[in-house]
Amino acid sequence: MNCYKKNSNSTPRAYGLRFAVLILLFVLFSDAQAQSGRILGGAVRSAADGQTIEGVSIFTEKGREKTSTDRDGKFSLRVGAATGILHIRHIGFAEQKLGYDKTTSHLEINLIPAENQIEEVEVVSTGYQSIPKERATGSFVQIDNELLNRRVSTNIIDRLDGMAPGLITNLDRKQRGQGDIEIRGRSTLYSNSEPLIVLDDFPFEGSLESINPNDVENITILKDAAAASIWGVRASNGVIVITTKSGKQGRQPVIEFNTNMSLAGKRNVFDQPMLSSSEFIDIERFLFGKGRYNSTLNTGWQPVSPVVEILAQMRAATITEQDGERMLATIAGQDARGQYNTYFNQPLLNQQYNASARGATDNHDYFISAGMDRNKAQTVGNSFERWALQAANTLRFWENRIKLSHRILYSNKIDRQVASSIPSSPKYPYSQYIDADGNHLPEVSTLRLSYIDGLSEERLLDWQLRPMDDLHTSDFYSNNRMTNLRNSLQIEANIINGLKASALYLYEESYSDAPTYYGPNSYYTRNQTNSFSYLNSSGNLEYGIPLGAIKLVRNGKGRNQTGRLQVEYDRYFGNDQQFNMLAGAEIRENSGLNASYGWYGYNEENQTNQNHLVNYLEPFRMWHSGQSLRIPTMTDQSSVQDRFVSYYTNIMYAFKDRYRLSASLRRDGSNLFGVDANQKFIPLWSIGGLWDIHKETFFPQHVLSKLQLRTSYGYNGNLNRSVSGYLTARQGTFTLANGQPYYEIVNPPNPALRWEKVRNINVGVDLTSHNQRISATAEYWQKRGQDLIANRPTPTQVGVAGFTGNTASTLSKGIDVSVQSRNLTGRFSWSSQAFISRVTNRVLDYHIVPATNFAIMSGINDYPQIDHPQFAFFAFPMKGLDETGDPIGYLGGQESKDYRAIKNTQDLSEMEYMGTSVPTFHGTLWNSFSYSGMELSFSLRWYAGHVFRRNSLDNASIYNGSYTAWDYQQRWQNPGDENSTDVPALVYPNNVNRSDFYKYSGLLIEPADHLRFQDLQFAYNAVTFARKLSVEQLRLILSATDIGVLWTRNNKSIDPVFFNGNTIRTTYSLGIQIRL
Amino acid sequence: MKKIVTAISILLLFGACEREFLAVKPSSNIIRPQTLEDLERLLDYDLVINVNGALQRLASDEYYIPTPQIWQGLFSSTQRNAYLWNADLYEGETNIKDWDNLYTAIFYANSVLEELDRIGGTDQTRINDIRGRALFVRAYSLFDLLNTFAPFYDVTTAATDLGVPIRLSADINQVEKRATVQACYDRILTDLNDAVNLLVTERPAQIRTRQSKTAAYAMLAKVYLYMADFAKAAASADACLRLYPVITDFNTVALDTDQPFQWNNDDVIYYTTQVLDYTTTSGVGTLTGNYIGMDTVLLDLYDATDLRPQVFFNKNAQGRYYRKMMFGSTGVNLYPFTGLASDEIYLIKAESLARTGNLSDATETLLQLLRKRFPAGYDFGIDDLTKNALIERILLERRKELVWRSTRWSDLKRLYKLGVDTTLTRKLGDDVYLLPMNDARIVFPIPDNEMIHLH
Repeated sequence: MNCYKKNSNSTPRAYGLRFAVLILLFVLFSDAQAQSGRILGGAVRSAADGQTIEGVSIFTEKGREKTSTDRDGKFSLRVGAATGILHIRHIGFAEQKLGYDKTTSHLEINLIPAENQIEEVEVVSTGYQSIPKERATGSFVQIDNELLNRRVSTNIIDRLDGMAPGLITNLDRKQRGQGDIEIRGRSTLYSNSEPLIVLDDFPFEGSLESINPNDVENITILKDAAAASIWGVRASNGVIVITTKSGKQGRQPVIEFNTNMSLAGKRNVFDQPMLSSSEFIDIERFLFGKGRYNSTLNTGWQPVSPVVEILAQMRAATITEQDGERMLATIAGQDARGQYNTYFNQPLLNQQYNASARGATDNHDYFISAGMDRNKAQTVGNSFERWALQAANTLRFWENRIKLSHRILYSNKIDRQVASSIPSSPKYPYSQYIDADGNHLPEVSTLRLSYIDGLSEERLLDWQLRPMDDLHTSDFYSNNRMTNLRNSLQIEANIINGLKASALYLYEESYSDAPTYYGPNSYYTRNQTNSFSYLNSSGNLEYGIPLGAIKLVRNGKGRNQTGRLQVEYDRYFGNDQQFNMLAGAEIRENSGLNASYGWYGYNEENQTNQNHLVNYLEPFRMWHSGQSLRIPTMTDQSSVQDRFVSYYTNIMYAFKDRYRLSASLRRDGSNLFGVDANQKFIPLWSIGGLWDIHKETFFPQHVLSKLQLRTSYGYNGNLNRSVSGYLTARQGTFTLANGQPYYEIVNPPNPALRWEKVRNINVGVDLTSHNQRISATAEYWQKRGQDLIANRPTPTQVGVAGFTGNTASTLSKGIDVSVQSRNLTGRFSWSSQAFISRVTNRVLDYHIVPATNFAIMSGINDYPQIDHPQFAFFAFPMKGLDETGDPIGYLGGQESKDYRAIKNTQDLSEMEYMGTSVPTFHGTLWNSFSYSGMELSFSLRWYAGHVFRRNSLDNASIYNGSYTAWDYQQRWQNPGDENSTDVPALVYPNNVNRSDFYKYSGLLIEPADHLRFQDLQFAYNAVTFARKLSVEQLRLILSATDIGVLWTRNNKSIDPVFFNGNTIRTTYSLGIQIRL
Repeated sequence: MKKIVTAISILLLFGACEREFLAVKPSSNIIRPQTLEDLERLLDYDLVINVNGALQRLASDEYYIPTPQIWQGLFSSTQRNAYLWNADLYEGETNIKDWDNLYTAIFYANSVLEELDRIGGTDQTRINDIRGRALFVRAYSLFDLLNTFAPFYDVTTAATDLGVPIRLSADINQVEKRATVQACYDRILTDLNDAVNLLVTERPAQIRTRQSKTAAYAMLAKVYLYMADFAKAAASADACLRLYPVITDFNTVALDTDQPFQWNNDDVIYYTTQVLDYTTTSGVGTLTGNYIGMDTVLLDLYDATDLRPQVFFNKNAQGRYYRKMMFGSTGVNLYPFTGLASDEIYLIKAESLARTGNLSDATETLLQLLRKRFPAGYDFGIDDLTKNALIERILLERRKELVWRSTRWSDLKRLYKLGVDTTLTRKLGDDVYLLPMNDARIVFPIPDNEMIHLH
């Protein structure tokens, strides 16, 4: 057999050859499979809507021959006897028996739904295998197309929040320093905490924005070991399996169009309480009087605000007091918000268009779609555009014994960004960008405005930053264009009855091209050119950077190849025993190359550059600071390459159709840790069991129509790409002193390194009421993170600050409950769905890093504390204010104002544990009403059991030029105020320890429990109008997302998610769906 | 069933090449050192390798902080406490670079020595040079740690005085206790003597951050001087200067610029700077003029015709003197030069000769330096000095020449051992602070978080 090439450039051809060999093997293998009997074929549909049904059990009288319908409701069954009876059984439908004889070859079966059946049968996909959910021992949740389409978004993952128990999307990810999505809490300290995303059977490593949400059929979430451990080292954070649409059998092709438009107001830049211009000027005057700006002013070039500039001129008597005061009064009358909102903010406007066609003939299924998104972001100049095309075909040959599927997905997206010189918020509360005559005004940047005006060197370029210039010239663009092409091919052969073999191959390529162009007149180019200008020996100015534009290009290329060989064996033994086994091997390579290069003296029209004139080695002395810097080379290249070889198996055994056992085993090898580390065989495995109690004869059917008990146990793994078993180094470009390339040690050798492992336990019960109106699932779970990779502190004498190894463990536990109920049926119907999850987390073992109490509370997740949640909040107990407006703390049981000692003590009992920043409860309530083609639904989202640290007066930032001022009006100002406020007095100079003490005091910790009105949707099926237009269906949808907070437990009405201000705006959408 | 077994065994064959497939490194940015050049690049990492501690200069009497407000405004409490010689130097601050950074350099040196054994090869000359460089780095860093954190060398007590841990292995699981001062000096001398024999490069023409034979001799001279072994100090200094005797003539240096020297100027034998910390009092360049001034008593020591004050210092808008960018300054970084330069070796040689009674050679050695520091034809009047007067003059010139190079603190301790007592004085606002040389605070404490591992 061909060996894998060692170098990084294994060609697709080499892979192709390997696969050819493997496919050949299968053909040989399936060759002599002739067997007696004949084949019965057919399709199963629901009598209610004519849709085909997947996963329907079809078996002969004694269960000797058995199959189930495929994705398209089709089946084929080899039967031995010439005549007999077929049983067709499926949950939610009445069981049918059909006789067949010698003449029967094709059967069209219509199943009649059981009375008041709530759910369609769910077939959940693990990415390796599809299993009817009712037979799964693990924890699966499926979110169908209808639910996913309730929300409008560009990114499919944005639609998942609140859609499944145990799944949480972090609305404000920065707040917790965590990833976007978490399934059942977190079971790692510092490694990857994001779930694995699987798109149509293969892991998806690209940008989620490459997926067109309109193409998604459903999403399955794998939560426990039995569900996810088939994914081995990628499974510990849970798995999200996205299945896109494929051809579906129907009488005629279905062609659908849909479009929607979303609108949201301008960004709330000014939600935070801010000082008025005159309050801000008063503070600047106060600080000026204290000499705060003297060192800055003395340098001559360091930037100061326009107000400080005027004050300095008044002091130097270069302008008169009266003139100065008049100018200050003018400035005090200015308000930055108006102009900023007008020129830099805009409402969000997203448009989405999609068209698709799907259908099938006897041996061909197809699905084709095209989608386009055009988004205008809330910052002027930022926009996003995406084109996505998809085609999926399945062909069946030889009486459906061979199935060949191909899927191709193409997407192209462009992200446009506004110039970096445009401020994300105004620099001063009185900043102005344009004057009455329409002239663009300069904003203070890295240099003092008067210094720029005073520069006598004529050949220097204009050094002022005028944000409006950069916004309104064509002198700048930054486009990130990304193209993604994903191809998958699958061949599946039914070799003998019950034995299937398949080969799958994925080839995915992505390219990104991200040029940033700074035109000759852009601030960036002018600033760079001036900074690297110098006077030559004859006193003339020369440019270190040739005149012209500067262009920086970042290119990326990614390639992902996966090959998989898999056999699946499914067989009944006697009437009572079913055996299903899946085994396979997978090989995978994911590689990426990033390169960036830049041009100086660039001419956009001719695309020429003058890089050859640039001296990159010699440091240039900056005009203003006297410091010397080298001209950045703007070139860089790097590549990454992840390789995996995996073997896996999954076995299921059922007895009497009501006792089921499952087991899985997987082994992964990867190049991440170094080969030696991989040789340590750490299998990841699971076992699970299921008992269908309602199928027992003793079970009283009139109580519940379904009662199922499930449990599973096993291990999932997790990756950490940042560590290696070897001594490794990284190249730095230039040493500071001598300009030589150098190596920096990244990782001391650690031969004992291994995967992180998470032990999973899951116990679940599923029940459905007798009348099928209410169904519920409750699950208890535990995830114990073991061998977690963490930084173990070492004595610094060893020369590395910490050593990263498998040294920590955590324990998370929780409960997920979901209830679905059909409250009213009939012409007016009402259904509800509720999820509640409980999640707690505790650090079990960690090598404590000695740290001061202040370090522990200010560096969240830097110093995990044993027996506390990973994201614990600690605070200094604070009594209130004394008669001088100082906060009173405690030290050694006594009241104390020794803030430095309070901060720096390492006595943990001196601080108070306040709770965790992660919700320990969260839930969703969804209600849907429908009446005569109209549907109204809304969802509420609830979070509880956690805390947040609110903002309050920040003495340090107020005296440091910030105009954001929380609780400024409430501060202590006069003796006696201490009885009515806890906000300390402002003191000058700022006492860092006092400010830090207050900022981390317990008084500022608030309960974060709250209830959000998440979305509201109204849909109308315009039946008559549709008929007039001769279309099958016409549906109008109006929706609103992120409607607001209905209730908060903190009594200050602070939104605990957006407590920093800048709340998210409600998005309103209008959508139209047409089916021909 | 048999077919299944066959299929599975084929799948397993599939894995026969698994090991090779997985041997590819995951990122181009990650380098596993495989060649001698890779090891040289580890030794070229100047931010780690080419550093000295800062505490000795922060505590020395070469500068002053004008007002309590400025003192209060300094970023770190270590910086503030070092200025006032407070016994609680760090006040809970961790990551003390004087300790951490120097041990990181030792870790690099030990890693290079260990990887060198693994990689090996046939180019014995290059292997020797790399080994010599690593040994030099280990000795250089250990010597600096000793000067900061241990009692000064005293032949009568060195065998019992506690020094710092000696690390000869890169194994991070191995923790060393403090060794005696004598053991530390023995290790330094062993490593330096080995380095002298192994190092091939005499002195790099351009890249003075690289270790060389000249540098190893220079370092030996310095170590023997601190041990008061003047005969060996003189011999090592002489060996160094025979390889490289050049000193810049200050008559040829531009006086009106803030950056009179280039980073690879002629005097530099081995380039190191202060650790990158305590920026505001690093005292180089105009910016630090806002925080500190050069000590006026020191400035008064210079003769009116001496070129050095004009080359070394400049006056800022507040009338305070700050240090110009000096030897080896890249201008890229504003931290003072603390490495080895030829002027220091002349001074070591002169002092050692004088102390061993060779007055005429000592005088001539001193004059070789001074002639480059004064306008031509200046009469130094030192031809007939007594031994003590000559030594005193050499020490005075040493103080004026090596200003801001982190040598002053060790010199104070060294001279105290040789019978010269000094009491340092600071004034801050209305408060006066004193530090006699027999005070325990003269030795900086080992950081608390490190001491717990050393008991």
